[in-house]
Amino acid sequence: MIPSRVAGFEELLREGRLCASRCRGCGYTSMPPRADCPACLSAEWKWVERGGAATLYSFTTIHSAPVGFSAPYVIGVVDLDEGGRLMAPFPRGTADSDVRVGMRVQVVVSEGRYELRAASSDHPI
Amino acid sequence: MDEMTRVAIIGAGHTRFGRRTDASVQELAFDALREALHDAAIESSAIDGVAIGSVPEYHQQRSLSGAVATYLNLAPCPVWLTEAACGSGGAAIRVGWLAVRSGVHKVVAVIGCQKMTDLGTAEIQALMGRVGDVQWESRFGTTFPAYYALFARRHMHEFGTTPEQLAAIAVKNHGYGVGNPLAMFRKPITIDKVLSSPMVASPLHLFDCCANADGAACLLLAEERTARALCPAKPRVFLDGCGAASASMSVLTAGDLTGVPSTREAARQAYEQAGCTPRDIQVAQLHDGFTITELMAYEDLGFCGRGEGGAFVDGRGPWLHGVVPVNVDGGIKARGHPIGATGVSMAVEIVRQLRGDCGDHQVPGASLGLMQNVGGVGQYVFVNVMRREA
Repeated sequence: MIPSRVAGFEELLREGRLCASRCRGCGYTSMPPRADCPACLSAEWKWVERGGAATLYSFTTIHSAPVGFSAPYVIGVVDLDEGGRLMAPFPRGTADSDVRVGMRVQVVVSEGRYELRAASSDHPI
Repeated sequence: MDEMTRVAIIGAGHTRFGRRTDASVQELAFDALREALHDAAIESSAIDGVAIGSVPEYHQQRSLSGAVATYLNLAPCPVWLTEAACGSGGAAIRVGWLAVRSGVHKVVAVIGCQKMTDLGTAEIQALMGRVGDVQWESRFGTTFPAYYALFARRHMHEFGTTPEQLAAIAVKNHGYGVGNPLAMFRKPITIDKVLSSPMVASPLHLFDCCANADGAACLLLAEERTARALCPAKPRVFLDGCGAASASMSVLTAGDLTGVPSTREAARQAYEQAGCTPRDIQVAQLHDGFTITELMAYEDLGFCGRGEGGAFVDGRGPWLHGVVPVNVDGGIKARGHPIGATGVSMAVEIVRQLRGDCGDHQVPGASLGLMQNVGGVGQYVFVNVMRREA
């Protein structure tokens, strides 16, 4: 994580918590989190924990990777039920054909990271 | 027209694009400027401002604009560098247009230039992937093709757009590239070849993507009266619409990923300034960094309805004899994509179309053309409408 006012996101992840930011001035909630409210300009904010249930908005399997990554891997963009959007990887070994737009997914936090799994109500990966 | 001056394009130059191990970035820029000066038949002393579009991260040379301007021998002209990722050339045109239209400058050289092939593919994937949000996206190994793959996948989901329709755009552009001596790739391809090429970021195959390249292009913009005095004989082309807009740089805050809202906004401005509608456009250069990018542009520019890009392809709307011929010089797909040069390259092609200089790929009688240049996933978009004087 790069130095930032919301770097605490990583510490919360290590505690197993996935958190969005909420403006103390107007209640504007953001995921990914942000410290400075774009709506009311307030700098006062707090963390709010999210459940991680989400719907897959789009995804891609990357076959040509940047330096430091080894392809292939599947990345998804999910809309969280509680609002906001995240990008996260599916577990290594997931195939493109295992995934479809609109499927229910869970953002799973473990070992300080977050990734996507098919929700139990959806087909297994 | 209001009281501000009209902006004429009096000269255009364009190097061969491709792997240019024979020249440095400033030498390529010189080639483009030299050709534009010969085209306009003016001396470089007529130039009183320089706008350079380039992405400096690709070059060894720091503070690129100074290095280029020095080699071009354009001191004491003021020089600006515009960086807008793959839209850097479009941004330079916008700066040149502002400078001339405001009346502060009389003749501005707009130069897009880039050398990319000194770097390897993985290095470029890493650099380009960081055009996305490094805090919330790049950490997962995003690449630039991956971003447009997310758009393509969603467009397919919502509108039933097919890999074959995307492939047909690549086939079209590479087919036209055969006739372009300045293009990096001059071989025709087939739908099968696209669909059997390696997947780069599903659902985008290798041939859905463009290639990194080296090259430069130049436009000379002039205030209308100055243009008439300096170049009395040339068929005159005016930059009558110059729209620019931004949108979220992150797919996490962009909302809908089936179109590019900044294209719609920049187009609205350009159409309004030029007093025209999408139906009036006779030839277009659209940003085909990826096949999906060109397809979404048909919709965002109003060449077809939202979600109808696939059907527009099926009806051969963007072919040379279609509704709006698009990228009939081969586009970014065949020309190659020296990112800072691309926006200016597009404008050069439209100028040549409007002058009737395009030979086998000339759109007969074209007098109104459009170009759209996109940086990132739409965080910078430039839409220009150009008109030949009747």
